[in-house]
Amino acid sequence: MGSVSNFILRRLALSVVTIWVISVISYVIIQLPPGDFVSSYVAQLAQSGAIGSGDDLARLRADYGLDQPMFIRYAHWAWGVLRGNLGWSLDWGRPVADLIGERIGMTLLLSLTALALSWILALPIAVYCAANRGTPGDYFFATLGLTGVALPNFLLSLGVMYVGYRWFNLDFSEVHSPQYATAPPSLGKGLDLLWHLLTPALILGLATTARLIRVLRANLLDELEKPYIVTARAKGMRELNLILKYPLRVALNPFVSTIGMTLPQLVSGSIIVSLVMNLPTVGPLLLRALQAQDMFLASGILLILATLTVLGTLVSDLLLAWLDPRIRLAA
Amino acid sequence: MAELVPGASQWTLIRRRFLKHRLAAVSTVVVALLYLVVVFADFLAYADPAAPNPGRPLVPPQPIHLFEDGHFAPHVHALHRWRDPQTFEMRYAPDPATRIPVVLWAHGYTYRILGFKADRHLIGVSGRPASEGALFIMGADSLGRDLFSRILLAIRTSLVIGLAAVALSLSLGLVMGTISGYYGGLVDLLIQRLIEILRAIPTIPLWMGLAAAIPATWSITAVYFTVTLIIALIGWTELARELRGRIMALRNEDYVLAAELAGSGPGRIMLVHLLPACTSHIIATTTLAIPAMIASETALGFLGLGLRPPAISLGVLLNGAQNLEALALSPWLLWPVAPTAAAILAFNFIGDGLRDAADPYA
Amino acid sequence: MPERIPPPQGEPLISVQDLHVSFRTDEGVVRAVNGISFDLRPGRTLGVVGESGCGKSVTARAILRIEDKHARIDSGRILLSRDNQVRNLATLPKHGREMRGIRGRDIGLVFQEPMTSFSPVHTIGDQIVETIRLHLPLDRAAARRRAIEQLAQVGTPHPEFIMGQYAWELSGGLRQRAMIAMALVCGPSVLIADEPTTALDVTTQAQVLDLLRQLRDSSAMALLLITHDLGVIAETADDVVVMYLGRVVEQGAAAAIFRSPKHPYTQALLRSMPNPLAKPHTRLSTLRGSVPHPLAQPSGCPFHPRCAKAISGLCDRIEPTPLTLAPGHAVACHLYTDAALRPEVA
Repeated sequence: MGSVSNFILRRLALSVVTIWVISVISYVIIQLPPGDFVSSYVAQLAQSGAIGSGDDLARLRADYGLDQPMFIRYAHWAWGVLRGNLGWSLDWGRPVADLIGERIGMTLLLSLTALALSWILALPIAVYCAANRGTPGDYFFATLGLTGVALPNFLLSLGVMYVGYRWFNLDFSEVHSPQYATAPPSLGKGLDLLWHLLTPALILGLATTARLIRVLRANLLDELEKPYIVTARAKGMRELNLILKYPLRVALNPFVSTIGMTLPQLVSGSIIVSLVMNLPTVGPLLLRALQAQDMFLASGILLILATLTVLGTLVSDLLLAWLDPRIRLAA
Repeated sequence: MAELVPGASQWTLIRRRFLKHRLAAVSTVVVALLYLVVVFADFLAYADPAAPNPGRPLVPPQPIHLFEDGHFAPHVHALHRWRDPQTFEMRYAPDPATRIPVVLWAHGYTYRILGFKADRHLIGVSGRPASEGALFIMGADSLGRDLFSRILLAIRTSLVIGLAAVALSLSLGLVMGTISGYYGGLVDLLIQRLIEILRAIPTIPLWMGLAAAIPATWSITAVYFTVTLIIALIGWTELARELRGRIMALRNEDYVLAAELAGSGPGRIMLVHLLPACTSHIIATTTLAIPAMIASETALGFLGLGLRPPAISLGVLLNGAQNLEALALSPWLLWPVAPTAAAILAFNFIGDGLRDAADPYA
Repeated sequence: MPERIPPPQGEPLISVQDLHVSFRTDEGVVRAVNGISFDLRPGRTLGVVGESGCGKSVTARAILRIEDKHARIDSGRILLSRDNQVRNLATLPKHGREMRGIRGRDIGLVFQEPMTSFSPVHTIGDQIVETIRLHLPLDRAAARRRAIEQLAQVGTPHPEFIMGQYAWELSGGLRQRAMIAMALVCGPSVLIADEPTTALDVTTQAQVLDLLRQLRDSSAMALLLITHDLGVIAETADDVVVMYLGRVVEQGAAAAIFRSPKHPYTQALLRSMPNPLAKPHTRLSTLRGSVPHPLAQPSGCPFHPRCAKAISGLCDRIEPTPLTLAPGHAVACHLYTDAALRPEVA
């Protein structure tokens, strides 16, 4: 068991360091635009008629600690973040934490739906391809997979949006049917929401699905070469049962082991897909924040997204250690 | 079964296997054509891609008629512009009576190619400068600029950015991967953790944040360089990982030990003995990295965060294709999708073929 | 060891007739099995011997129709008799219901490597019970009892405990016993053992051979024993088939073949075997050269490049046909074609 707790500790430590690096990057991004945000705040105040005097400006700067060196300001900011204070969005005039809180749920829902969808699709397709290796069906999925991995999300969503709008008069930006829009949460509303998220999740999950099929198919084929498969065949088992019972158990590992790689990609992709399809996730929020140089909001989104991704990866690592003893030993 | 093919070198085997991958072989032709466009973009374009035509916003694509009264005489019909009295929308109608001849080897806007000034273009409208807005093979954008010419120039920008970013991240990946794989130990540990951390961060928001921080006042060249740098700085990890694995495996081969015993220093062993043995893998991984870089640039441009007008790149062109209502009225604005998808897919297919071929003995 | 008296030659359970199997590879067609014939009779053990790559395992797998995807049975018949019915396995669909019903039910198979021949992620019991439930109308509990019985019968201690173990938790000998139990659990009339002792250490080898001999003596099952080890054949087999490059070069009763081997290849194989009765310090002779690459098969007699007695102009041109020297003893060698019962040529 020593190696297991060792493995968990190592993973935890790495996650903490990763989150710290992310926080530094986020803070740097806040600092990058020329001028500090008090100047832009004041400029905004001036625009709206509430003119601030030089005294006000200095007081504001002192309030926000802008007269102190960078690392103290970072510490100040980081301390605030730890207590849940992500700063103030000048653009919206609201706390960043509130803005993100409203939309982070939909972001996670979209990413996780895409993840689930890609698993549901990849498993039968990979089994089919492995069982029918070298047939036209196998080649079809291989080519489709290659295309799916290659095509960037935004091109795909743009295409689907256009086709949907032009020929089917679909609007993907509504995530609820009209009758559910103002209804209280219910099972029907939940299903309706999932139904509306299906198309964006499919687009988002396509590359992941294709990559999973590729890994799973290769693993299955590896396993199918092993002597115990010949034994099982010699017992008189059917080919399909053979694949389902034996190698699939071994081949399931990629589902968990690739989460670490998949999750950041899915979260990344969800930003783009929801931007194009105008879904109420943090994606459009981030773009607007960046365009308006609303840096606290932008870096808050980056920080929260990256932290959640790292935590997700951590969970998948622990899950994998529990699932496959070989990982624990290798750690 | 390698001994059954006597005299076939590793590269012969790789080529043979690569050509068996039909998609990859076809894609090679596509990429070759795209890079011909990169070199000769200005020659192939017929209208100044930057010059707006106030009188010609959103002209739909025009067909080129090849025959006139049974004779071969390529021409387009002149455009008649009018305003819909009900919707007040700008409409165009061809005027078959006025024919504008299309000629080969025409004079047009002045450009530089290989250090020379030139004003010859593959095709053009005879008689008057094309910039007056007579020919729009793929239609015009909202400022009346010829989309076809803009796409050609955009292909140049985006494909060159892809190559430049790959060259940068290749160098980074080579250095990091080789050092990590060769020395192992603490150096390896640090580099591996760095890679893990970089890979754990969702890249798109990070790109967006960094790209958005580029001051709007910078010149096109500076933005261009910065965007390339941002893409490369985040994109090197895959290659470094791949390379480290290969080098670690080779590190324990007897011939490396032999080279060490013969007195080769680490630098020489890495450069002369280890890296060449990984060449096929490096090439395959690099080829797969190029489309990712192109996609990154295009995505950033599409969001309006990377290159910005007046720069012309596929991303910038696609940025103009964001509005669905506009697309429904002027679907030709989607044309830039075609070369983007073609370039990305072709590079991926080639990379896939190379990856399969890289292990000729497998 | 007392000389065993083999049971009389009954009607064959499996009769392999002029079987040809080839592989399609990128480099060309490999003829792995070139027209071999033999019979498996109840209560008797047939040993198939030859160097690796001579087509022994291909033959075993072809009988069960679990040959490799690239392999094809080109011609020949594999006749299985059951309940007074004869069916030709060579023409049955590989994955069809009938063939599946025969595998594991009428013919059991034991592999060389018991470690990798069991799934690493399922218990031994799970895999044996699965075999039973595929073929016999038993419920899970009954199948479990049957599996435990069979494990006890092949001499595994604590069979209930073994049922819950994974293959990698057992010793090599126990694994192979479990493998044999799984092959026998549906009461097959034919057991094929493909190098059953090769991967085991010497003491375990002896135990497993003892077990196989007990099984043969206590039942009317036919045993096909495939090995490269003449010692194993000498201890176990009633009849012997000597294979070289996919052909049968000599075939007959074990006693006759060990007493007076006819084919130069058989003679060479026997000479390369340590003889406990030989004088001290006698050198073991070795067979010169190695088995040619299957794509580069020699013309004429396949053995002639390595044969000390090859007749040039004859052996390198014309492939010898099998010749019956005595009842049940056949050899394919030109040395015997002219003067049929010529004694050993020095």
